[in-house]
Parts: sequence; structure tokens; C-alpha cells
Amino acid sequence: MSKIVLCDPVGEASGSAKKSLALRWSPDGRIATLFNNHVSSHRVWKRVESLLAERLPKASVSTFDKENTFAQAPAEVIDNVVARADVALVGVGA
Amino acid sequence: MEASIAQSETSVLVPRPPIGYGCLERRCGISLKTVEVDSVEDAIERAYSEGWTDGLPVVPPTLGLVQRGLDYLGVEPSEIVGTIPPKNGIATYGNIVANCVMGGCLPEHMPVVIAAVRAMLQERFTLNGVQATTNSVAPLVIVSGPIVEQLGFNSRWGVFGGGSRANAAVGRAVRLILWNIGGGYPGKIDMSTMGHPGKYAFCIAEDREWNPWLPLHVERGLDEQDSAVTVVATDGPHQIGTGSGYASAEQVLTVLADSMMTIGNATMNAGGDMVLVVGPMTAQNLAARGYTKASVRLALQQLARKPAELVANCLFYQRPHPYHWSHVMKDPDDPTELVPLIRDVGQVVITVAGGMGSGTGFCSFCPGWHQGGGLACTEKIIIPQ
Repeated sequence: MSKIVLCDPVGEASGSAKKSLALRWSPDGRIATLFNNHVSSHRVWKRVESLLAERLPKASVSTFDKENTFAQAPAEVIDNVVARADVALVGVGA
Repeated sequence: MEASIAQSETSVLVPRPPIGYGCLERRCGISLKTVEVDSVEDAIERAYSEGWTDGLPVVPPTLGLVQRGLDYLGVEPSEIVGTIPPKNGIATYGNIVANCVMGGCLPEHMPVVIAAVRAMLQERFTLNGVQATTNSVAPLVIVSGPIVEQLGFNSRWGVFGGGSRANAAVGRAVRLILWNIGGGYPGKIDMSTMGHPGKYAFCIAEDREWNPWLPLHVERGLDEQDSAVTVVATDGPHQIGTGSGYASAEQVLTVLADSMMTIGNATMNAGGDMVLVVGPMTAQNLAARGYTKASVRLALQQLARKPAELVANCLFYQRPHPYHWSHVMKDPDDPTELVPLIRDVGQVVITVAGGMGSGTGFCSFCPGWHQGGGLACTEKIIIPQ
């Protein structure tokens, strides 16, 4: 019996999106926060940042904000986060 | 069993001169994956089990149908058109055409879909947010120009509903692209709280014969003989019975304005682009009384205003938010000051579509998302030579 060949319509994730590295982190490592700046999350995000500083006093914490809440962070921001941190906490909210 | 479309590339990848599709693409090493099934019934079910469809059955994207689309466009399956957020899936002509086939497109519908994809990928559309927001907006595709008649788009009775293959297939293809390439899965990446039926298909066409005003694409900088797609992220259509068969222009505009400025809609709270679909009877009556699209916008901007003390009851957006209405007020603490729905007249996309109807003069209003995205973007439709 002849087969029907179907073409896969799914788009492969671009290189930056499909990377998934194992998490390597220590409490005295480098941490970054990247906040999407959504107004409804300001208070909780400030609390998260203060908790990080309070609970992880030996860690180096860098904070970043997105200028456009609704767009993906520009590549230069991501590069900066990657350069300055081993682990990043990325904030969402709406 | 997986194969590659490259096996049959000899008939697909015939070198062709640039036809306008070559401007954005670059070659990549991606080949279109394929799967084999035994029957049409299996193909339909396979689309479900693979997660290729959002719930409606789809036309099986067979190698033959996909190849036919690629042949018509004169493109290679591996050429990249763009990256569709939020998943950042790579949109190639191969997977775009496969989604077009699944949506029911004929090859000649595919340039319309490609124009819509390019429009959605313009920066000001902010597709990432449109796909992910808790708001219910979906990209509304508005087709205008000679292609409306050439491909049989419905621009008249039931324009938002069924009845036309072109509207339905293009709308479905756009949705499936956002699904399969952009990863807009509800509750996972697409966090739309309510959604709306336009998330299955949302494509209308502007009527050329009954539109007394400038065509939408001409207003947006293209030539009249061009055909184009304009996309705007909007809520579902809200019908407005204007009574324009009996009413004065001033009465019609008052009804339109009042119906557009409901205090719970996103545009009222946070600005941005919106779509007013003016029924042909209403458009012609307004035009007969000297109104153009531009003067309709100005009139609506003056009329569509509500007292701040009323709008302030809606805490959907709040004052710290940069798009909140208080930021466009002279004195945001004055409860009697009027909040404008239309912050800038350029935010009102007006198109003429729908049936002629009776004197009821039905129109539709589609509120937008907010001033930070989902904004109207237009792309010329490029027909392969």
C-alpha cells in the first residue's frame, strides 16, 4: 500500500531558544535578575530582588530591566546578562 | 519514519529569478521533516496527535500539496522568512506552505499569508506580546486591493463569518503559523484569559466597489493598483447598529463614538490602534454628507470621550502604567475632565466591509490591545510572476 507523506508544519526553535543548559549554581555565585517591567509586578519583583540580597549575601546580584515589557529582550541585554551571571531569574507578569 | 523533502527537491528547487521573495531570506540548512501515514483518516488523526492543529481538522499537508505551493511561489523550502515569537520558531517557506495547505489555501492564497506574516513581524506589531498577553486580542488580517475580487475574498455579507474559502483559508493559515511556528499554545505560551473566536480564523476584506473612501492600503502608502494586507491585534468585532439609513451624520457619529468607548475595553484604558469596520450603507451616507475617513476620525476623536470619574472605576490599567489614560490628561485629578478614546487620529483604522443591509446601518468595532503593540502594520502582497 502506498504511503501518504506529510510535511511537518512545526517551526524549529531558533538557536538561542533551543539551548537548554544544565543549571550550575552556588549560593555565592553570580546571579542576574531580568525584569520585564510590567507595572503589575513591580512590587513583587522588588521583593524578589530584596529577598535575593537578604538570603544570598555572598552572591553577586546584577539587576536588569527590559525597556519594552511586551517584546523579547534585545540581544545585547541578553548578552550582558550572560556575561555577568551564571544564573538569571527572568520576571513575567500581567 | 522521517524523510526529508530534499529527496524530491529536483522538481522544487529549480533556480528562478528574484520575484520579490528573495529580499529577506537567507539560505539555511533546515530541511522540512516529513512523516508517513497509511491513509487520509490516519493523516487527519496524525495532525491531532502531533499537535499540529488547534482543534479544528486540517487538510493533510501532503508532500504533493506543499510542493505545489512552493512551485507556485518559486521558492525553496529552506529559505527563511523570519522567526515567529514567542517560541522563536524559524519560519521557512516550507513550513509556512505546509501550514497554508493545512488551513485550506490554494497556492494563490499563499502570497496573502506571507504578506500577513511579514506584517506581523514588523517591530511595531510586537508579535511576542500579542501571542503571549492575557488580553484576548488576535491578529486581524484585512485584505485590500484588486486581489479581493481576484481571489474571491468576501468583503460583504457576513464578512467576519463563514462562506468564503479565501477568508477562511488565509485566516486559518495565519493562525496555524502562529500555533505551529510561533508556539502560541493556550495556557502555555498564549496566556489570553478569554481568547476569542478570531483565534481560529480572523480575516476580512475591504470592499472596493462600495467603499466611497480611499482604500486602506492607499491610506497606508501603497498604490491603488497594489494589493495589501494590514494586520492589527484586536478583540472580536462588536456590532454597532447606527441606523444610518435614517439618521443624520451627526447621529451616526454619536452612536459610533458611544459604542466604541466602553470603559472596560483595552483601547479606552491604554490607547493603541483600533479597527472600525464601517458598513457600506453607513460609509456611503457619511460620504454623501461630505465626510472622508479623515474627518470621520476627527469627529470620533471629539465625540469619544468619557468623564474621568467614570473611567476611573476601571482598574484594568492603573496610573503607574505608562499607557494609562491619566497620562494624556491635562489634569488627571479633575474628575470632570474627559478621557479620550482616540489619543491620536492615526490610531483609528477605518475600513469598509459588510453587507449593504437595511437602514440599520450595521458597523463593527474591534478594540485593540494598547499603545505598546498590536499596532497596524501593512505589507504589499507580492504575486509570483
